[in-house]
Amino acid sequence: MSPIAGMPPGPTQDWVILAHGVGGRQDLPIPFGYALVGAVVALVVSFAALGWLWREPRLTGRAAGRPMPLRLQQALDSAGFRWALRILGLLLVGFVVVAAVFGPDLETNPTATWVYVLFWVGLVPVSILFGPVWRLLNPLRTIHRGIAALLGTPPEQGLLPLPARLGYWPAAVSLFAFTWLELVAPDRTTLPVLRAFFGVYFVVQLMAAVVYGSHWFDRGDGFEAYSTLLGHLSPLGRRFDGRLVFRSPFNSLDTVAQAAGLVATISVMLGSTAYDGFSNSSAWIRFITDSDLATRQAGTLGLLGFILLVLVTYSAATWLAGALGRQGGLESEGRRGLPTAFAHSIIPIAAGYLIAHYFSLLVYEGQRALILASDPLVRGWNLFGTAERGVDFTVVSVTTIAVIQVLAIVIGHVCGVVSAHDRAVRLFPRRQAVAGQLPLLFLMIGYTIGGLLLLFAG
Amino acid sequence: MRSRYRVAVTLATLIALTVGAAACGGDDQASQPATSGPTTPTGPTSTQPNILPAPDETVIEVAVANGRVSPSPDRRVEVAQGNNVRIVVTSDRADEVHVHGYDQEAEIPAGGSATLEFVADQPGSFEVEMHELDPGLLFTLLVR
Repeated sequence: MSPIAGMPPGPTQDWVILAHGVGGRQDLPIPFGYALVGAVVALVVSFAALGWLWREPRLTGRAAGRPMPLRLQQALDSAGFRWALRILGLLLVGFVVVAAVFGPDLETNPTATWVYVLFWVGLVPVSILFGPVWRLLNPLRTIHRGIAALLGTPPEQGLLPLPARLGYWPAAVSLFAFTWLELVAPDRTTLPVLRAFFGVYFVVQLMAAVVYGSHWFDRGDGFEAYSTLLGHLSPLGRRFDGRLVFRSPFNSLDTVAQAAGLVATISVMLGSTAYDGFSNSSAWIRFITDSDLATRQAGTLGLLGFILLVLVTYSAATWLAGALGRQGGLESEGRRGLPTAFAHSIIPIAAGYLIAHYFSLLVYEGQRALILASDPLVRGWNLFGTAERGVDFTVVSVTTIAVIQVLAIVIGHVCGVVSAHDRAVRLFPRRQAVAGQLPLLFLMIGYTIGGLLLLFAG
Repeated sequence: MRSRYRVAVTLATLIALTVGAAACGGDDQASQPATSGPTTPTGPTSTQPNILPAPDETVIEVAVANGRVSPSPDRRVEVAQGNNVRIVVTSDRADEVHVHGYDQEAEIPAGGSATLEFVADQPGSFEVEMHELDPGLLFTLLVR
């Protein structure tokens, strides 16, 4: 950890209020040429896809995939491995809880970096690689399992049945609460704020799980829903017959469970990342400077505004698609379900935004998290031998970061277009299949050019 | 049988965790630039005689009065990597100026000024902020 020059040792109340959760360094704006090339590629691929891609639905979702060797599956599905993961989850979260509860409220306390960087940002690549990992690690599930064992009931069984109409709404609300904490809340890196947020979060989640059973966590715990939705980009999946398979992420995306609140949840994912990028722009800084709003009020409005922008533009595009499909004979019931039916195609775009905005943060501040971990209570310990190290800023170059940012946005866009295409040829009457895709295609192009602009202007 | 397996897996996890955390720290001090690098914080210094800047030095002046920052805080100041940066901040109220990422800080007495001087050895975008002011941004430093 870099010592703050000229800062006296010992506890200080005057915490450095960090603008973006944690981490002082931010990425340079990408060169204009990169943004332009990215936008052109996205445009060309989009319209080429309309002409070239298949005309009959091809994705088979849960039926797809090449089974992994049975022995490997048995090992991965074994109770031992599952418990190892649960214990790992308990240990990791327990470690942070100890630092948060018993450590001093200093910048060298690892809690904030662990929460905002290793956990929140790290969850993205780990889920994209391995699938819905937080389900398997989630200590709340394990604690709830313990409570259920004490009560003598199976964990799945609650006091009340989980109402289907809740869908993903609790996840959308809890993700919004967390992104507000991360991007807007005053003093968000201080221990009292983090303790209060997660204290309330843990208690509410556990109570809901006791009432509704462990299925609550699937779509009630924002972090689990987040990891599960991003996990649909993983090449690993489970087939309808229970076999663990390697399959194309497109088939995985095809299996995203459709339920109420899915569109809202994905809007929070995409909108909050876009707001984080926008909050660095000159336009936003000018707005804040000239307005009479306090930073917190402006930030809340900005975050909500971006989430609503995604929600409204996406809903409008699918409404328009439905109107076009109607001329081809798409029934009203099918039209009503369209926003939810296409929501999965926004997940790769949201993932592209997340990688573009947080890749370098994970690389640099992730190192800091491991350095600070050696001295969780700030007592001069060196538990893992990392305490004396500094963050190595030479691991990736400025150019590499810019290339990864543009690639993430463009690849996310292409995956979104392909996913939406297959869903369109399945849902729309044949004659309307191309026309019906256009609104969503234009929307995705808008999100992608917007994403590139944020990187260029950020 | 099963519980023995569980214990074994737990131990393996613990060992993997410890080894993993120890291995991930990077290498020695040698590869540690930037944050604790060759910086020369000058701390709060009231009015200094105006020395002409060296050719590879960028001087950035900011004034804060009545809660307003001038020039406007939406500006970005570009600096070549490796150059010296000198930031001079004057403020009508006592405050503290902070360069994110470089973690340079200095206190400013009411009606006085503070100078921060450091080598911009790490590329990236860094916010220069005041602690008491809201919104506290003074400007953004772009090191390329």
